[in-house]
Amino acid sequence: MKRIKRFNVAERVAHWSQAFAFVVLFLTGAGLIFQFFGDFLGVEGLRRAGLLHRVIGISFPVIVLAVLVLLTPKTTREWLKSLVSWNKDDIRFLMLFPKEFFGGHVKLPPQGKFNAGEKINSLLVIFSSAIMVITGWMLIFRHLFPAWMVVWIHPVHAGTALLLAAVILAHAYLGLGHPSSREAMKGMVKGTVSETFAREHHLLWYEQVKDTDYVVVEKEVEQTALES
Amino acid sequence: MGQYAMIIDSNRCVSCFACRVACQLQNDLPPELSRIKFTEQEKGVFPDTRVLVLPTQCMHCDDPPCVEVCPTGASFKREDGLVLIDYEKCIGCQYCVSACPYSARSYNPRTKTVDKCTFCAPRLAQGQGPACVEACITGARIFGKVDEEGSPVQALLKDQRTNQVKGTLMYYRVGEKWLDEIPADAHRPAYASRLVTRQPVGTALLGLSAGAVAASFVLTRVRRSGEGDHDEKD
Repeated sequence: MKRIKRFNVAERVAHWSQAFAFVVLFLTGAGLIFQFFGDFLGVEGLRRAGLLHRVIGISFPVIVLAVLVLLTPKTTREWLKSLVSWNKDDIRFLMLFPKEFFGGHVKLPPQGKFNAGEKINSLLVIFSSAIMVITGWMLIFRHLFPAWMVVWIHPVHAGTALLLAAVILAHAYLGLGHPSSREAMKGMVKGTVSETFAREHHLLWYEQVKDTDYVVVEKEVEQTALES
Repeated sequence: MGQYAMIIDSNRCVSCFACRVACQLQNDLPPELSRIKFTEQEKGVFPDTRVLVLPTQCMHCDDPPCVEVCPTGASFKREDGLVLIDYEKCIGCQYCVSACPYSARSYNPRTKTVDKCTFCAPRLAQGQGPACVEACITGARIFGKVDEEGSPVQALLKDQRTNQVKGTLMYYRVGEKWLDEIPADAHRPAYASRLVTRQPVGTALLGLSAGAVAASFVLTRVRRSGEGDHDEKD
């Protein structure tokens, strides 16, 4: 059984670091937005959450950026490049995708390594993460900024967090719970996807890599073991 | 229970800052942190100029924005008018620092809580006056209960030249040309509302996403249940 290498170790480490950081940061910050959750955490819980929020919020963006830039600069550049390259098929993909999302069957236009939905997801996550990091640092060094500016940083930080949560919830569901994209999850966990998935979901990318060393042949036994 | 009031008579103030120092000593504050701040205004044309130094602090608003935005209920308004902080409950999020229209609150890194004027509530409980009032060498700070018969506060409140910062417990007495330098009446900044701190738009967005996910979860399973298992192997 042929499988196609989709994400290298560095890409996967960066992705799951980002995922871990997001979950921890959302849970440790949510107490200030949702009253019931703040009450649930209690005063001591909120204080500890605040500390953890700062520790993770300061360290993880550095880790994620360092991994992407230093350990896998080539794929990072290609990923960013794909985010700014849009064509008619991408638009058509976005128009048709809702039907697919809600269980219909659609013939989606051919896509590259990242489909239009993944590109939107990437863009939203990159931009909102940047806003979160910038406003987060501004809140830590709030005495360096004029009061009128600091005043608006709270709601911007909280509002962007909720936008990010909305995006990531849908993204996580597509990876974990949507029947059509389960193979995509393997790409982010094992690093490879089945040849069928690559051809059906990312045809343009598949065409590029099908005759290269991106293709790995797995022993049949192993494959059956995985399937069961 | 009657409300407290504080009058600052700038005609008597000699800008010695003793009130600030007394406050810092009384409340164990680091030198860079102060509950009393000063605004400085200059008027006139050289050489005939005058400078007004006006102390400001927590005005103890009747309807305090800081209390409204506090997520833990640490900031509260007492019946006698004092706006206070329960340090057991303060988590140092500083929402109140942003919400205060008078910039009267600051974060104390030593205690990891927010700090502001309490009119020396612990001293009041022992029958003493606020430290700033007792330290004032010229009697420019007058403090007491509004309903206390014959008190210096009551006498001064009847005087037309005593200007209340409306919606607060603070009053200022200044020369006529300085009237516009008195801190503005209590006002509510736009962000000092739960509409901003509780994020209705963002929450709706998250709800929308959750709804779409739930709908998809059900629909994909219902609509594809009759179609066999082929999706699994995509």
